[in-house]
Amino acid sequence: MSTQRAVASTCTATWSFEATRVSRTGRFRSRNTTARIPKIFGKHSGVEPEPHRWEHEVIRSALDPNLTVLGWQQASSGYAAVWATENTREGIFDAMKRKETYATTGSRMMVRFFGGWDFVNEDANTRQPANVGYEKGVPMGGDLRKAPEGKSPTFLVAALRDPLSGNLDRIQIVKGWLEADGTTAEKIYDVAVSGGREIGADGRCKQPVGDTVDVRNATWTNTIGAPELIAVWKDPEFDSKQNAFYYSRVMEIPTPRWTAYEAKRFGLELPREVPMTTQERAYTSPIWYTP
Amino acid sequence: MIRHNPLSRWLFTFFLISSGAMAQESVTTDAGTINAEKTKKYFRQDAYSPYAGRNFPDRPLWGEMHLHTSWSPDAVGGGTRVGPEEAYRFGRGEEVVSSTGQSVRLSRPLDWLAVADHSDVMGVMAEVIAGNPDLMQDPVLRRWNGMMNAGQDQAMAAVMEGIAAQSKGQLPKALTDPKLFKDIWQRYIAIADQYNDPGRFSTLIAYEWTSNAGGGNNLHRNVIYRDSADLAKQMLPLTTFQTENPEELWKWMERYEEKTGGNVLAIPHNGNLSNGTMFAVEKFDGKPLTKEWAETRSKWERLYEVTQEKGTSEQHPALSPNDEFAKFEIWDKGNLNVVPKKPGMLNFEYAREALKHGLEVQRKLGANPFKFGLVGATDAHTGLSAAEENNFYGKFPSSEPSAERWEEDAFNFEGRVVKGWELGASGYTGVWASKNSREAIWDALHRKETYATTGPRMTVRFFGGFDFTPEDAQSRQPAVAGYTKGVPMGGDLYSAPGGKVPTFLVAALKDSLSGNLDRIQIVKGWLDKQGKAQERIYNVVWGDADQRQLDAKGNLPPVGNTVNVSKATWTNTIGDPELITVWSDPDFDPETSAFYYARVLEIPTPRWNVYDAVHFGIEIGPEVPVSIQERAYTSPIWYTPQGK
Repeated sequence: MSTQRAVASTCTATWSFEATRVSRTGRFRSRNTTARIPKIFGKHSGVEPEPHRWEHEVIRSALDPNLTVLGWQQASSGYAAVWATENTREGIFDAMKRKETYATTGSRMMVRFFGGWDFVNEDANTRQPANVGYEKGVPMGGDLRKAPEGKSPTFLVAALRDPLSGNLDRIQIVKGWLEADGTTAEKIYDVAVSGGREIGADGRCKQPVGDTVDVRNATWTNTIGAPELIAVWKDPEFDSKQNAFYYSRVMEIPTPRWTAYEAKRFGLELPREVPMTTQERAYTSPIWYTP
Repeated sequence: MIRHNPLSRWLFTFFLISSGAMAQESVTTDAGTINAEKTKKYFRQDAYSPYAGRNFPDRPLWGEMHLHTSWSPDAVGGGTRVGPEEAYRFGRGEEVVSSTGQSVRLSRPLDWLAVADHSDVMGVMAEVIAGNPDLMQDPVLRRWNGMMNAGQDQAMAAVMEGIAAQSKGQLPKALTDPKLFKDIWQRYIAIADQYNDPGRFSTLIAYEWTSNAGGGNNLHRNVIYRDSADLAKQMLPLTTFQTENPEELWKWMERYEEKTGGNVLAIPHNGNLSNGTMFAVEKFDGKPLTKEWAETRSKWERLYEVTQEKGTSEQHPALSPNDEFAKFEIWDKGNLNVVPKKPGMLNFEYAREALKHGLEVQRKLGANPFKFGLVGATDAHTGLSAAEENNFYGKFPSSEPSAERWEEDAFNFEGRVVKGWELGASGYTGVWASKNSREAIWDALHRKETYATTGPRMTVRFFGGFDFTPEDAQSRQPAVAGYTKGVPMGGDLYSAPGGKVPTFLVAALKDSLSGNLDRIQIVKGWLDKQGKAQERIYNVVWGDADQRQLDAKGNLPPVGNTVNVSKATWTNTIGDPELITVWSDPDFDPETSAFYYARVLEIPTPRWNVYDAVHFGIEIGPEVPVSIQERAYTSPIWYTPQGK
């Protein structure tokens, strides 16, 4: 009788961006849960909404008052998205076990991330990226082994904004690898950016997306950024002898932090050290390369 | 005496507490002393959570109420094998196999669905195919059973024989036997109940009463029940064997409600194929309208299906030459038999024109017969409610995906042809119901808190009132101000307070899987000093506002087009993902009636034939449009001055 039970029970090449979203949101339909920013309910009952929670001592340091954690330092975060083929306990557990998951700081953006050897720019010209994603590669949480002769890993990455949250600023791919001497290294690449900004030869977009947040009214406009981003990226510095991992980080445009809703709600003036905006984000599980 | 009546005393006490001057005082009742200051905390408090305590609908529920299955005689005759059960399973998101053997699934489940098969010989051909033993006693039906099961040419010959027999009134008696109809109806409504899963996927019992009066003039109505099978089984649906007169349908509805205590409403569709009869300002028999007639029609016909596969009927470009978006999926060659139109017929076929005529009739007779909200549906005869351009499964099995469907004839009546490519991949209905249940959805349909879309699932809010201010559009929860200060789509405004004009809060959020938004328009219709209805379209908020401005006439440059025809894709690099504004009517006259509805346009995206071309690797003729601006139409909000 259940919708989810009747759909394919394994990930196949026919799984599309859209179809899987159904499984993800079909039952998680209620938005009445508590991690979304306008209604952070704090870590425990002592830090639920009230005019002083921003200055409440969450963890007092006996050694150094500067180390004491104050209420405003708590984050309104986060959620896990699971790419499961059906909304059942077993389906969700299996997806967690294979790490086909991503973290968000509260928003519900949709993120696809596939790694393989044969993704080409054409693959980003589709509105069903998952078809080619599962066909030519492995999803987030997966493994790439032994590079085919002369090839570098390619990644298909796509993000759709949460309809109730901010537009997207950019998608980044974070790479970590092992040098020949056994030390680790990392590098961040901007792979898709909104607003026609340029990505330099160093793989970075230096220009920030901007900020539309109206702190006093705790609101913003989606007049900057993009509702969706998609790209195929090839590692320009790949060494087939080095172990490496890649994960993607999806950034929203700035939106009000919970402290801004708090200040508006209770008519507070908060000190300068309290941040009033935040760039919500998603972190995918990595894809590992092992020679 | 009143002093000793506990209820009166309680009410009196309540009055004292709720009046400001007395707020700090205590009063003693039969139940003890009520101290206002101490007691007020038990009443609703202003919650921190912006979502707590909301009693208004907070997301649109998607579905449609006009889907045919193999239980409709024309569908089964056209090769449809998908029945009501598979139709509901498909609607709730399952993958099914279509009548042409193709696997198909929706991008996302629907929230609700009503299968509405034709009441005329409902389900009987399926019984003939299945070899119902009672029917097999009739030699003709036994022969048809053999032919249908032989398939191909023989099945087609049986279908043609059946259609010819029906048109000559020579159908075997067994097919119209009330006992058979009763059995089929009871099974049909039991299936709807079986698939009704409140909170997840609601089903509504429905049927189509299919009057083709005068030789193909489409006067079709879908009847939608609020009730379950226990009430619906108490009366058989009305058929056109009994009457082709819609006034008789209203009487049938009245009888149903009286007999069962249940509730039904009717939704007409395809005025564009009625050759001037759907919204005629005369009765079925040609006599003049009366106030009672107008009241009766608007009592039962709460909604109009403005968009579906056989064309969109919002407004014809000839009736609104200044509306550059009226030319959209227009079917205006004739009626259902493609009998060509005569001049003037168009005036009585399109929704906007009917809404305007409604104001005129109201002025003359004191009641508005055409006071309907707007919904979208497919009218697919495939059992598949598939209205997205990239997932269009056509009208009949012959128009399910194939390399040929675009150039074949969708309708060919004695050489008068409508081509396959003219079918539209449309539409769905967004319902603002406070929960996903059959009853809540029916209630929202009844109060017209609905909007039609041509396939995408954009979220659209539309509220009217006299006190909206630009600050109300700064919120990310527009419905809070909307429901507090105004009425939602489908509602009424009366007698403007002194010096005030109607203000509207309108907001749209793109379908995350579809195109960005081009613009929101408000369409206004009103009566001029002579009592003649006028219309005007206002661009109220639009995408790419840093690059596009209104000209002196209020027109806006086109949004552009990113469609890549050879790949059947587009980019959301133009337009905006969301739009919101407050608009006040700059031309308001408090003395005359008016209506306002919102039209939300997406940026151009590929039309279904473009997906066909890419999938099948075919060339499609230059006469076929390659991109489409999908859209939503809200139910109107009416303004009626006092005493008009």
